[in-house]
Amino acid sequence: MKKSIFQKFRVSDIVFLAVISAVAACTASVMAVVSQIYIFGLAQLVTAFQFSLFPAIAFMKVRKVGSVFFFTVFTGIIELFMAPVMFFLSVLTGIIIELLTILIFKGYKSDRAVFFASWLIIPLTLPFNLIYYKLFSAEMFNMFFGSGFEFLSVVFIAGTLLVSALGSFLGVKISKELKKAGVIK
Amino acid sequence: MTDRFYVSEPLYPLLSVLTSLLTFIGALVTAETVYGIVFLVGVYLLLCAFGYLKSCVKILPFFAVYLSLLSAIFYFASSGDAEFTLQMAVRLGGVVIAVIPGLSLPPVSLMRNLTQLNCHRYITLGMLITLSFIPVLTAEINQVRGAMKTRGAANILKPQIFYRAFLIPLTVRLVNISDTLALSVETRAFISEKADYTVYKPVSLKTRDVIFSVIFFALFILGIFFAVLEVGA
Repeated sequence: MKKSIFQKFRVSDIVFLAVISAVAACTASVMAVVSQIYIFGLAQLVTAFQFSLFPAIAFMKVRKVGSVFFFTVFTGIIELFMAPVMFFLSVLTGIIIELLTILIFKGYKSDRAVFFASWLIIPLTLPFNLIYYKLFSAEMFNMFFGSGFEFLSVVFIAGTLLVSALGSFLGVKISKELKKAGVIK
Repeated sequence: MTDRFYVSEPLYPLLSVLTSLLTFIGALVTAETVYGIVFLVGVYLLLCAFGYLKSCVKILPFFAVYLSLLSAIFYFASSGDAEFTLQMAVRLGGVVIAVIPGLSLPPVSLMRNLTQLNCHRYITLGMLITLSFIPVLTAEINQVRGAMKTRGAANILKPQIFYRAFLIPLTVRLVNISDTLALSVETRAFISEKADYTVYKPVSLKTRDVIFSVIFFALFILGIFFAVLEVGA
């Protein structure tokens, strides 16, 4: 019988996603230091590794549609108190990744889908940040793009994509090793 | 770790979240004028007056180091532009002060509040674990680091050591902790199906919260009003 794309979450799934979200958010706290340095892409670069490695591990274990959404909501709750805009952008990113994964991979059954979803969590916030600054905060937009660091921004954006890909790759690799060892079922 | 910031009588949880959000926005909007400083000092004193004095004092050393370090960077990066540095300091100050209501709020209060408002139980459970897990995580990381030192693999900056001696043991610990935690949650009658439940110690809006809201919103609106007026002129 063909399995449905949408599967019900169990308590253990939610607990694992929450624990991994806490780890990702906690290890990404370095962002607080760079958040006021107005070079576009820097904040994403310093969090790209943590926000791709740990989600990859989470999605390898909880291969259910909705995992990305839960992950972004749980990490977002910490962001909500520090940078509220980030919370909304993260959740929006989560929803879009869920939709893309359903459309392209029909769920998280394949490792490629897990890689894809965890890879995009941070890079996809870049265009949304850009749109937000352009529409709602012209002053911030000028700070980011009027300071003469545009070249650095391009480097940081490329770096974010690469570091995210590395994090996702390692996350999938670790999960496979742990599956082989019987730690992850 | 974060629990030393918890206050005995926090504000209404959703009001705390809103305070954080508006403090952050207020600091950004008013940063270019003197009202930015007035707004931040006002919010800080207001929090001190409404039971957050200990948290406000405890955060001061971090506030001072964070603010002076980054302000110094901005000062030298802008070739000694004091006005720009002050604006940036107000924005940074906004971030730090916005954190206080959240940092001082026991996660369980927020969860009780959201549960009372019929928020999905999976969301509240996940939020509670995420917010409460950070101190546990710190201890786990220290344990893994301790084990690394014992085995003579102390240099975490080496990719192979980082991967094999840090990442994998940490992940194994996380999986084990989450399995135990899930079992613990289920044995405490938490189920995924729809069922009746009671909220232990319901959270309600008190007169104190209303007074705080009135003063805070007055500060916020007046701060923005005068700042916009000054920038416009």
